[in-house]
Amino acid sequence: MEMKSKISRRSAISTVAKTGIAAGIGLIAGALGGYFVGTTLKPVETVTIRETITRTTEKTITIPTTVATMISPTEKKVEFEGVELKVLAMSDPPNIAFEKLAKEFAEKHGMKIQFEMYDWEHLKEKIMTALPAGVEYDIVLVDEPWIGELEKYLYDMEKLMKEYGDPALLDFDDILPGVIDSLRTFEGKLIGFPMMTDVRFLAYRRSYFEDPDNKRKFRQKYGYELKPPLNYYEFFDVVEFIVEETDMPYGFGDLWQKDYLEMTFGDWLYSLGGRFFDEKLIPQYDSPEGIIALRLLLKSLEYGPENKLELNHELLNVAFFTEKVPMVLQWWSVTNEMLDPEVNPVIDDTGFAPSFHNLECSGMMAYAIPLTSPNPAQAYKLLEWVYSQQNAAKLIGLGGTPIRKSTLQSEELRRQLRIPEQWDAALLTLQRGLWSRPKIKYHGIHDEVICSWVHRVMSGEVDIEEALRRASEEVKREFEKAGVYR
Amino acid sequence: MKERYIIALLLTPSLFFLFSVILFPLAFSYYVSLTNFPLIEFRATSWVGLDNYIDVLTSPRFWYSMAFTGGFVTLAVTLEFLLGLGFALLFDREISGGRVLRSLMLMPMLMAPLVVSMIWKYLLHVDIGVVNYILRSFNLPAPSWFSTVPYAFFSVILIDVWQWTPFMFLILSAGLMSIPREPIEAALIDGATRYQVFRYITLPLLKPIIFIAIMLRAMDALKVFDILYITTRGGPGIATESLTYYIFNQALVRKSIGTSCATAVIAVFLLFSIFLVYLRFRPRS
Repeated sequence: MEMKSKISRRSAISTVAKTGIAAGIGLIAGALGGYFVGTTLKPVETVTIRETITRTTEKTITIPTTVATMISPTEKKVEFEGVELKVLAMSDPPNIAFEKLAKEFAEKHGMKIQFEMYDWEHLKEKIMTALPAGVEYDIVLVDEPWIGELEKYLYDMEKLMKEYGDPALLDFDDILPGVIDSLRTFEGKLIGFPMMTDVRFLAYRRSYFEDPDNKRKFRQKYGYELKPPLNYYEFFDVVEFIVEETDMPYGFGDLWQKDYLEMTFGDWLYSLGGRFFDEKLIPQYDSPEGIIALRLLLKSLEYGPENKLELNHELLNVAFFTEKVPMVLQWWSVTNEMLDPEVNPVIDDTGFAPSFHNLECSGMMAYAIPLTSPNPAQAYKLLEWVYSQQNAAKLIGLGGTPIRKSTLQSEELRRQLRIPEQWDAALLTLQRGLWSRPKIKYHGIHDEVICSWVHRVMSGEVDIEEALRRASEEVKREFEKAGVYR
Repeated sequence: MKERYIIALLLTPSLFFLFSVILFPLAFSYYVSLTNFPLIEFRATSWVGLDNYIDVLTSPRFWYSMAFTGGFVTLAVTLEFLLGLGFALLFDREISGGRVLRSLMLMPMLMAPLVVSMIWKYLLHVDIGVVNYILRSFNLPAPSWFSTVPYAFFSVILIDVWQWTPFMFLILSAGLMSIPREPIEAALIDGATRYQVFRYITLPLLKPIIFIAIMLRAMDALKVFDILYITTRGGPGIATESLTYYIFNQALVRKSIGTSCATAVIAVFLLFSIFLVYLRFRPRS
């Protein structure tokens, strides 16, 4: 009986193993056969790159009026009754402000509106799978770095403006130029309706900069006045001073979590005149500017708290609120928490200043209309109304960030702000200039590779030169495979 | 002859189910793994043959993720087994309140891994976490658990052990209950110590159950993802990047479904091989 059982099991294993090996050989043979016989399924489009850097040097921002003149004054009649719109958005304050106004518009016009809201990371995953799969949404929130990947699934907003737009309501010339430029593809297609201006600026603890003793010591040590830093020299002096001369154990916090490093590293790189790619889309991470940029980033990291490598928006705010760091670089869209006295215990000691980077990352977000939308006209009219001149002040009151010059420069609105310097900081950052993340079809490859290699350098796993060289090689190889250079 | 048709007819629904739910996805994944299939195109743009496999197998990052997964499975499952066995032996006797304690013990296992990870993310938070608060109150160093090496590795193991020790406990408890009492009682009468009873009677009789428990947990731990996604996101650097996290990164971050499927096919072969090894060395009941 025992013998029989043994033979039976052995033969069973043997059969399974043989089947597995046969299947493996068959699969490999199939693959090789297919490789030699198979033809290219469809050629991949070639992509060329142009850098998008917006720089406005004058105090009053002006933009060309070409966009406004493109809009036809004849407006088509749009029916709203009984229409149901489906929106894919994010769950942060500017989007919640949009949700409130959108519901108001829908109610007024007898429409129904349904919102699906996620945090940024999950929205990214959702949108990257939903649009290519043809899931029907009427309005989707698109972040700037996703434009290159998603543009083929989205309407050209200027075409919709031409067809359904009301120029008086829209007042397109009033929208901040950096915002519009950031939402265009390299070919000039405007993919969405700007929903917020997002730039980063410095949030800092006033008391450390206003303390007479600190001011005196700083002047003695560095020979100039203590103030929020405006360039790299001042930045490293200030953080060094805070750590060495005050009771603060850490000087600075930035978005150092892996997922944010394209932007964080990019701020240093672009400010030093470097670029991620050359004109032929060959990666330039290991350029001399790239190496210096990463060295400076690492130096700034020395002044960060213990959990520096996991600092995302939320944890960066926690580090500031728990009085661990006196200075953080934070996005405008998430500074709402800093203005809430119930959340920010140091609100009376919080100040805002422009970023110390020469060029700051542009993080505009837009509401776009997918080509699969069953109601593009209604979706467009809703966006136009929410972001119209007449709703600008209301939107700010609900937690939005300004997209219009008139809003940003309005004295009346500024007076209502808890910390008015916030808008000055944003305006100065906008004036100094923004760099835009490359709007390329294979942005995901570049993003993942650069983020993980920079994070590996930050965790001390690999040295700067090797990491940047290997990142460049890896992206180039992946792009070659994807047919980018064909 | 008619009977054969009836058998074939009756088998059709289950064969159709087997094909559509198991074989078709596997075959389709294999097809995709031989192509360049960007997520944003949602279609194969070119045939690349074995290129994706070569890329994966020559990538140091893939081998690193394999090493991490191996280390994670070995350490986590060993700890879960030892703790689970300890608890199972402890509860294998009449204790007052034993039933309540046993039910409480099973609670972590009933929670979604995502919820467990969120709880631990905040328990181990460097500034506002309870664990560091306690450490600080004893003047002990309070590290950043998820962003420094090697703490990140041990933190994710700790979470897995906390959640899945009850599973080991449950299976091993059932195993202990099924062991006949007579040989144990006879040994005790003959003067055997508790240790000798455990070493020479309980453990050998429990062996088949132990193998099943370890195998089930190992197969599950090989697919670890939720904990890493919530707590470390594979970091710092790639220090906690498992095989499944690597696959996820290829698919949803790099948006290269072809490479991702190639890695998945390799993972299927790996799991299949482990299953074969298990069949070969399975102890006889």
